Amino acid sequence: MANVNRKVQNLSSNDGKAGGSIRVHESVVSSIVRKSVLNTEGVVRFAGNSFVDNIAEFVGSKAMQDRAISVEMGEGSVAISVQIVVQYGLYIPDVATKVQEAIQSQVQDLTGISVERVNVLVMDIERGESEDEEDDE
Amino acid sequence: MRSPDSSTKVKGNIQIHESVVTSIVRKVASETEGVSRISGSSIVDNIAEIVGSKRIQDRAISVQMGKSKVSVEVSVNLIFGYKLPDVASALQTAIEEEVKKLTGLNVSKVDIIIREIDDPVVEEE
Repeated sequence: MANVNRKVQNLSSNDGKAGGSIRVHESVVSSIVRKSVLNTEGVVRFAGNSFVDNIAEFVGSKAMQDRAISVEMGEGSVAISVQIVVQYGLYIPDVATKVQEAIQSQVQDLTGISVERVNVLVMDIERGESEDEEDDE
Repeated sequence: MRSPDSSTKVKGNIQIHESVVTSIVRKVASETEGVSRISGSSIVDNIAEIVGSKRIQDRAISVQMGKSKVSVEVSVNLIFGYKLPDVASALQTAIEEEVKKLTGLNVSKVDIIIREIDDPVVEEE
């Protein structure tokens, strides 16, 4: 079976300008997913070892966090899965739905790639502010 | 993992890991009057949680996510002086309500194991 390693997605160019393809690497989608999830109200962080994640982020490596983000490029569309930690006290299905919607709209808006599905796995809940806010404890 | 009912415009699964229920149980137990602690946990709880070794506590909390129901078993230490059945019953109710409220999932049963009785905590100066 031919193993198609799809890490890039072709964007269609409609205006018939200069020829050539425009391709988007899946890490671009990951970055957009990462930002849109962390900006979603009620999301504390991505699931994973938060201690190590914090160090990884501090040194500029996104490798750790990206394990909580999975991007599968298909034919003209992308399927996304994320693993998140939600703030304690909120109704989890609502937060998860907001995450799905945020991911779909951000990815489609910014890349033009159709989002076929967004799977959200809520791994834990924590007392804590979302990453955007200062942690005053 | 369980999927709660939700009709979403975006296709995809929403799943809740059993760790979520475990965390809810832990929090509810800490707030239920008459409960001293989850069995097996030490007084240095907060430090343990920070470095991620809350797994020790989690052995006292067992969560089964079935097709449509969640069942919970939790081992607790209660505080000396409280009527044990009353505290256990309050804990059961609180767990069931909080899980439903935060996840939308129904809890089919909450088994409480009263492991030990602790002396009331004396406030340190």
